[in-house]
Amino acid sequence: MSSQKQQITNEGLSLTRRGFINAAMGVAGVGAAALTLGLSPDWRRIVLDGASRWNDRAQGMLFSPEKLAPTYSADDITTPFPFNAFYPEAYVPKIDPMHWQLSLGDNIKHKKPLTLSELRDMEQESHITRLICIEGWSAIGEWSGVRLANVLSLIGADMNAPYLRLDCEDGYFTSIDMASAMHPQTLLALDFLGKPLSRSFGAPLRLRIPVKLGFKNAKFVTKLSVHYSFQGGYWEDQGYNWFAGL
Amino acid sequence: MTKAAIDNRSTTMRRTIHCGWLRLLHALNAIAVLGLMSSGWAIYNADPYYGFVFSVSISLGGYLTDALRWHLALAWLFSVTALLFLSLRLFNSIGGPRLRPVSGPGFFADVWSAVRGRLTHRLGEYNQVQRVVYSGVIVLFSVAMLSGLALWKPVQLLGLSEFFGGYEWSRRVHFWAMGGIALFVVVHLFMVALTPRTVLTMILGAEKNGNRIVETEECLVKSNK
Repeated sequence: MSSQKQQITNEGLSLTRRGFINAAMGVAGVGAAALTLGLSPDWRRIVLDGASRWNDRAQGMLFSPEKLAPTYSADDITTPFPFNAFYPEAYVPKIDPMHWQLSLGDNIKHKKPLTLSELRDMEQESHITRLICIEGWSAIGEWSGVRLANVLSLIGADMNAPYLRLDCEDGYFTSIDMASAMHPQTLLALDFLGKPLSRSFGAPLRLRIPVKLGFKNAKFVTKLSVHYSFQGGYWEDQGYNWFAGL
Repeated sequence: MTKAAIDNRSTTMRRTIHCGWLRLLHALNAIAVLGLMSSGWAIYNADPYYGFVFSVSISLGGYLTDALRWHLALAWLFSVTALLFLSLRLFNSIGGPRLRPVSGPGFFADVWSAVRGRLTHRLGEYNQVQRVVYSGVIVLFSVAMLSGLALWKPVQLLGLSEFFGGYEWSRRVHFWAMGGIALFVVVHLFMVALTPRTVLTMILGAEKNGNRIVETEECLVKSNK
């Protein structure tokens, strides 16, 4: 054994012609692929879009409707709670709660819009959960409101449709998969920290969905609709991953 | 050719050090690791918690949206190549020479020779520095991958997230795993620079002895388990 090692140590290396040609083709192949992705925005988009769709599918398979997001105690609540939107805080819409209505669109049986008092009269529940932003930061807050699943069954939404879309007063919109919409912690929130939502945080109604990233938690919601075709969203159409599950 | 004939040839002739598949795996894994690190820097920049940011010029994707797209695409490439590599080592006993034993004095002696540029690098056998560095990178890759999964799915993989101390701690652990891997890349490239012939074996597939290789022969020098 030791003599063999000695022998190995003293031996030089060489490239066989065929080995070298194969290897050079391999290096050229990997290099060409990397260069194509680096230089061609079109190819980059095709590859990255494909990977994002694949990530949507993988997350849909991984999602378990029974798994609950961790809940926290009142002491853990983050103060002040960070504001975030696609515009500065001064531009948040001002909605008159007396005239606000939740419009109901496609694939919903009872189209009569819901009023705030109708939603307030439904069974309320409250969760202290962590909101995780796609930027990386997270903050803990307490949201209360109506379970989205209860609203969807009340209005006769078609639960076989894969997508629920939310449209908002400020032009924002997003869409989520039906399984996450039916999750027991997914709320149409009316209150934050025990008080009606403030103007900055989505008054009078927002989505609070602890099984998804922050940007899925649409504020100033004005319309619900249910779809069989992919709906995307404000950020999703600019490249954020659609499923965005946690 | 009969098996006996192959066995006979393999004892009298030297083998390819790294077969084509292993070299391809290494190249793809290296691309994934470098891409994950540099896109990770842009993701960190979106909410920097250590009081500094990385230069956009070295960040894959540049800003959050594209950086995340790259990061979550390359995470798959990394996982597949790293797990394939690891299972080759664990279950097939091919994929590299032995990583043990390591002794303190032996390690520091090898570090000292490396610093003086006199470290012996026997083909088909790891010196003490290599054993420590390559064992360490298996740990670092595992921590990076698991803390990354914990960040990606803090609800669906709640147990894993809690193992790392929850969401915010997972972020820190993931960041430091990146730091460790960056250090590995520097040390690894330094060691490669000391023994340039390793470039020939890992990238171009150079063979020992110059003898033509029978295609069917094993991928790597078997570890002497």
